[in-house]
Order: sequence, then C-alpha cells, then structure tokens
Amino acid sequence: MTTTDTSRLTGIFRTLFNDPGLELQDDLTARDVAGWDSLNHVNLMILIEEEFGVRFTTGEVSALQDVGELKRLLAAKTAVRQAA
Amino acid sequence: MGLHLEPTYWAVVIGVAVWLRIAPARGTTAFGAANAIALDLLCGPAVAVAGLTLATGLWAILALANGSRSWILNGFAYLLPVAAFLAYKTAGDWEAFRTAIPTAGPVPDAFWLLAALSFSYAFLRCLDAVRTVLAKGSPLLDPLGLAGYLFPFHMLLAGPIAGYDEYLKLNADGPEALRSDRIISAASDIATGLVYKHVCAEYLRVFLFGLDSPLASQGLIDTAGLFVYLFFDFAGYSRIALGVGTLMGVPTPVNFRAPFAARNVTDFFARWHMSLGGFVTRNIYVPLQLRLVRRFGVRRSVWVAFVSLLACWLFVGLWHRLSWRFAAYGAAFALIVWTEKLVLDRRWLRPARPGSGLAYVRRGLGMAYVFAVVTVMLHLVMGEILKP
Repeated sequence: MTTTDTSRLTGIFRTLFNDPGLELQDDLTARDVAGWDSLNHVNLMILIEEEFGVRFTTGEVSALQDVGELKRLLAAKTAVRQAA
Repeated sequence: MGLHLEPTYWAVVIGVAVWLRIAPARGTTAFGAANAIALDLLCGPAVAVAGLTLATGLWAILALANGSRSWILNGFAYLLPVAAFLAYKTAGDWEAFRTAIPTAGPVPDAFWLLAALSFSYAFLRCLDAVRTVLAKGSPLLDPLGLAGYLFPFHMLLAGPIAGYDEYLKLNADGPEALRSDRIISAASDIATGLVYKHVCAEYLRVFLFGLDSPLASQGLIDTAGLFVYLFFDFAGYSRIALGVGTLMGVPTPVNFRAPFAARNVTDFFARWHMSLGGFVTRNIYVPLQLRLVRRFGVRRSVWVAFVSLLACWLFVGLWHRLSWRFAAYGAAFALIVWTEKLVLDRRWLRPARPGSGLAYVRRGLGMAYVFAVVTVMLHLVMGEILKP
C-alpha cells in the first residue's frame, strides 16, 4: 500500500472510531479498538469501499483478522482496479 | 451423557490422534475414515452409516451445484438441509407429531438416527459448508472428509460448531505435531471440562433437585440455578471437545470465555456458545447488514441493524425449538442487544476511567444486570427447555 493510501485508511479509522490518535499497526485487531464491534466492522468496510472504489465479498468481510490482513486485501483490490 | 466416562471413548481419541499423524491420506479424509469407525464403536453401525449416507447426499448436491450457474441447483443445495431440519424439528418439537412418530412407518428410525447424530448441530455445519463452497468458492471435500466435518464424534452431542474453512486447515497444515505444550494444554482443557461437567454440574443438579429428580423450575431462583448448571454442563462438554480436538489435531473452536464476567448482554453472547454466535455472524448478520448498509448508507446503519439482529435472533430462537415462545425469546433478545447498541453507540453512558471505583461498580452492576436479564429470559422458555 502507498503512504497516501495508508493515511486515507487511517483517516477512516480515526473518524469512525472517534479516536484522532489511532495508529494502524498491522497487528491491530477489533479487540484493541473501542467500538470496533460487528456493526462498526460492516460500516468500516463500506466506508473503505466508498473511499477506494473497491468491493468486498461477504467472506472477505467476515474473515478479516487484523489491520495487516485488511491492508493486504485492500492493496490487492486497488492493484486489480488500477490494472483494469 | 456419560460418554466421557467410558474407557472406549478415550481409547478411540488416542487411536485417532495417532492415526492422523501417520495416515498417508489427506487430513480431512483420514479424519473422516477414523470418525466413521469412532461413530460405529461409540454409537453403533446404524448411526455411522446414517452419517456417511447424509454426507454423501450433501456432497452429491454440492458437486452438482458447484461451478454451476443454475440458481435452481444452488437454491436446492440450501433448501434441502433447511427442509430436512424443519421436518426434524417439527417431528421433535410439535406435540401432535411427536406422539404420532412411533406409529409412522419408517419415520421413527429416521428420526432417532437424526437425533443420535445431533442433527440440529449438523444442520448448521451443512449450511456453513454449502455457503462456504458455493458462495465463497472454497474446495469441496470428498464424502468421507465431509462426513468428518458434519458429524465429528467429539463435537457430536452439543457442538461446538466449527467453521468449514477452519476444518479445511486440516488439509492445508495437517494435524499439528503433538508437542509437550499442546499435550499439556489438551490435558488441562479435558481435566477442566470433566470437572465442570461431571463434578460442578452434577453436584449443582443434586443440590438443587435431588439425586433422582428431573430438572424443574418453580420460579426465578430455580431458573437462576439451572442457568449456572447449564453453564457448567455445556461449557464442560465444550471444553472436553476442545481438549480432544487439540489432542487429535482437528480444528475445534473455543465455545465459552467467562460469560458471567460479561458487562452487558451483547458482551455475554460474545462469550457464551461462541461458535453459534460466529456461525450467525458469518452466515446471517454480515451478509444481511452489508446489503442493508450498502442500500441505506452508513448513517442509518444502527437503525437497519435492528432488521439484521432480528433475523439473527429469530434464527437462534427457532433453531433451539420451533415454537412461538422461542420466536418471541429471539425477538426480545434482538431488541435488548439493539437497545444496548444504541445506548453504547450514542455514548449516553460515559466510559469510566479504568481502575477507578466507578469502573468496578459499573462492572459489578453490569454482571448483575446480565445475570438477571438472561435468567428472566431463560425463565420464559424454561418450560419448553425442560420438556422431554
């Protein structure tokens, strides 16, 4: 992921979880962030879809374990989108 | 359920644990074969054959539907387990059908075989397999491997419900090597589970209801006792299954995580019967909520979440028993969980500073609130739970 993409992603997290100091470490999980429950997880994925112009499948949304996986998945999707 | 106290059970567990580490076949196929023998030894040949037959039937449907664009085949793959489950539950839960079963030709045999295979749990695994293979594109196992996933002898009676994708790891990674730390972890889980189930739960049952009396509830205090009994019995069974799974190297999910320490009802269900919660989140909540939020927007997500939660909780209620009372039980929990979400999301309750007196008081009050709410809700359906 590019630095710009990472900062865009960080911005989404900070706004959604109302935490201006939140840093996106790869091992960050839902347990580490107040308010990251199943409802906000879906909101997070939709906001990322809107920001980056990608689309996640239900399986991808359900299976994500941490921010590192999210970054890798997003990088793969944006690469496909740019190649198309 | 004295299965865990029989030497045959433990001989089978050790046999499967050794077999899976030396078997030349793929992990899931090797486990499927060993599981069929285990079912034969522990439950009888009829149950083992019924399990293999059902798994082969599901495999045939999935093989036909997999890769096909026919919505009829795809729909059939989902509908068949649902129809079988509805027939099974109707026969077991509705008085008129239950009394008619013994005189209904070959139906009694089919019903008792499904009951012996704990079909309520197998049904959830069927749905998870169908959805994971058809919607997510995960590989379809061979019939033997699929039978091992649907009817695993160590999770047969009361779960937990492993995800199909989790079970596939047995092929990708193989059973983990039996290192000393894994053996100690398995032994700890098995010993804790045995104490929960055969000491704590049994002592509580005898203390509350007497040596030979059936479980009963005359009021809320009895139901509160039954709630604690249910925890030790169910969590004990799940913990033994977890230990056995670790020993054999078969993916087996954690099912309980200190549920009485929950701060609210939502938190409680993230700790109680976690594998059912995971199933519902994967297969109902996320797909439905994604669709609704895409349609109505993130701003309205809390409001549309009520629809998703209602769908999830109605499913959970009716999965337990097909009755209006259990449907109402599910709907009431959906309302409670959604209301909690509203309160917490809107920050009507300011978080207390960690470690402060207020935080401890809130924690204690939260635990008391959860215990009271779940006890009252259980009391509403206790009559049906205790029905034979």
